[in-house]
Amino acid sequence: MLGKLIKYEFKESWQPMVIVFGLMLAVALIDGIAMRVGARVEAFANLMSVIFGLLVVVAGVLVIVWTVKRFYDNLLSDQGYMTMALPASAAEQVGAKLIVNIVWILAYVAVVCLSTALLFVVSGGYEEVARQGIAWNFQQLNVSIAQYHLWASFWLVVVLTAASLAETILTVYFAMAVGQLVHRHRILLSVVMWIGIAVVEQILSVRMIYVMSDNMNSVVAAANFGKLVGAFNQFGLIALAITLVLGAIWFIATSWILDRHLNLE
Amino acid sequence: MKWHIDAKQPIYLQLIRQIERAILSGEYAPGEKLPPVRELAADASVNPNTMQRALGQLEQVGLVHAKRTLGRFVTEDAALIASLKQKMAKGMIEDFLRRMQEMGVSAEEAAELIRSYAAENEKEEKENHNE
Amino acid sequence: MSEILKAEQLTKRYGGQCALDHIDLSLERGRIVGLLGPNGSGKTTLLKIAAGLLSQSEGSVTIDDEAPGKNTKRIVSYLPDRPVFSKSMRVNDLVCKLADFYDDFDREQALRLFSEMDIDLNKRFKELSKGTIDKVQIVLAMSRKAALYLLDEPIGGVDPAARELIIKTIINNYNPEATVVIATHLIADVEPVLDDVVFLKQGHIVLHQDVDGLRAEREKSVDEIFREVFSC
Repeated sequence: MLGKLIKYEFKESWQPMVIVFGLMLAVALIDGIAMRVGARVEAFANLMSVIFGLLVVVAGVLVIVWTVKRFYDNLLSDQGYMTMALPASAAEQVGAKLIVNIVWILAYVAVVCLSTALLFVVSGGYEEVARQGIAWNFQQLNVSIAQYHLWASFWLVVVLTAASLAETILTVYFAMAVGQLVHRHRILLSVVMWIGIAVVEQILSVRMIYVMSDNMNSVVAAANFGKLVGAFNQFGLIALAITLVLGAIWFIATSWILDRHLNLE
Repeated sequence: MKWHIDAKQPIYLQLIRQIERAILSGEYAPGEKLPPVRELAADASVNPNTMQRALGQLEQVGLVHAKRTLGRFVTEDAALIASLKQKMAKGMIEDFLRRMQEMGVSAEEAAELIRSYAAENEKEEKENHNE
Repeated sequence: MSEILKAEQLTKRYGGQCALDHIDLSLERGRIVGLLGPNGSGKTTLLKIAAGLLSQSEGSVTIDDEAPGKNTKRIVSYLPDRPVFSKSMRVNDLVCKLADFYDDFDREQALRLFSEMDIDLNKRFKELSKGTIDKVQIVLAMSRKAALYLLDEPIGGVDPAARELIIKTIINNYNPEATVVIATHLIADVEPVLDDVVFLKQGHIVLHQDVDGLRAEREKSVDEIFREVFSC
C-alpha cells in the first residue's frame, strides 16, 4: 500500500518539479555558452547569470510550496474525500508524502549542484582553473581526512542535514493536521502552530549550541585537532538522535490525528 | 412487460398482481422460464427483495415454481391458470356489479348492457375490417 | 454477524451545533436503505463518519464490527456529495488508480457504464460538465463490489435518463451480502428501490422502518409521509 501511494504521489506531482529543474539546467547551459562566447554577449551573459541565481531561489521556494500544497490538497481538501477513503492507514499516507517530499528536495539540491557544475564547465571555468595549475594534491588530502576521521564528520553532516530536513517537513505536516481539527480559522491555527514549533525548536538548538561551545572551549584549549573533531562528531550524533526522535514524534502525532480525528469539511 | 408501480401502496402486492396478470394473459407462457429476480427488479425499477417476496407469494399460490438451480418457471398447470383466471374475472365482475348497483343498475340490466355493447363493438370492428 | 453497520450514541458537534445527536442505528446486510432528510439533517455527516472521513464527538460506529479505518475502507464504497477529483486527471487515469488500490473494483463494469452514459475516458475532469463529473463519481462508486455502499445524493445532479440507469445499476449490483445506503432528499425517484427508510431530522432518527410495511400502515407513499413528517 505504501509503495502504491508513493508511486501515485510521484505520478501526480512530477510535472512542476521536472519543468522547473529543466529550466534551471537550460538557463545554466545558456549562461555558460554565453560566458564562453565572451565579450560580445557580455550583457546577455550577465543577465542570464542573474536569472540563474533568481531561478535557484525561486525553484527552492517552489519545491517547498508545491510539496506543502500537495499534502494539503491531496489529504485535507476536497481531494481528501477520495484519498482518505483509500484502504491505507494515516501513517502510510503521511509516510508516502514525506518520502516523495524528501526526494523532490534532494532532487532540487542535486539539480542545483548539477546546473552550477554545468555552468562552470560549459563556460570554460574548469579549464581556466586547470590552466592556472591549482594543484589538487588528493593523496595528501585523503591522508589528512582519514587521520582526523573527517569522512565520518562529512557523512554525519549529510545525514544530519537530511534528518533535519525530514523533521522540518514533519513539523509542517503536524501543524496542518492540528489545523484541520477545528471548524474555523484552520489555516490560521496551522500557521500559528508551525511558528510556535519553529520558535521553540530554534530556542532549543541555540541553547544546545551554547552547551556545545562550552564543551568545545576546553577541547580547543587543549589544541588537539583530533579531539576537536571527535567532540564535533559526538555532538553531531547527539543532534542527530534528537532530530530523529523529534521527527518520530511529529510523524506519530500527525498519523494519530489523521487516523482518529480526521475532520474533512 | 410494462410495469405500473404506485408508490402509495405496498409494492410487493402490485408486483404480485401484475405478474399474475401477465401469466394469466399468456404474456408469460405456461412453462416459460422467468428472468432472474435481479433482472425483473431492474426492469421494474424496484427493490430485489420486494420482487423476491412477490415471486415467493406466487410460488405459494402455485403460479410459479422454482426448479432448484435452474430458476423460476411459470406453471404448466393449465387448469390452475384457468381457475385463477376465472377467479380474477369473477373479482372484477363483482366490483363492476357493485358499482352498477350503486348507480341503480341491476345485475340483469348490466348483463343486457354488456351483451348489446359487445354486439355493437363486433359490428364496428367488422366495418373497420371491410374498409 | 449480519449487521454491516452499527452506530451507538453517535454524536457529532460542530462548534455549538449538533449535527448528529446520540444516534442509534443498526443496518443489516442485503438491504437497500434510504437515509432521508432535508439538507442539514445530518445525512452527510453520518455517511462521512461511517466512511472514516470524519471523527465523531461521542459514541461509536462500527462497520462489520470494526471501527472505521484501513480495513473498513477496503469494503466500503463512498460516494461524496461533491466533485473530489483533481481537475487535471483523466477519467481513465482514475479508473486505473482505483483498480490498483481496491481489490473489489470491477473495471469492466465501470467501462461498460461509461460507454452507456457516453462518457469519454480520455477527457480530463476540468473538461467535463458538473453533471458528467457526478455521473463519473457514481459509476466509480458503483463499480466496486463492496459490502457497504454509502451514496450521498446519487441522483441529485443528473438528468432523468442517467437517473434511471443509476437506479438500475444499484438494483443490478445488489447482492444479499451487501447493503446500500442512499442519502437523498429526492424521495419519489428512489422510493421503489428501497427496502427500508431512516428519517433523519436535525440529527435525530425519527423513523426506521421497512418501506412496504410503512405503505400498508399509512396508505401513502414514502414521499408523502416524508412531507408530512418534515412539514413543520
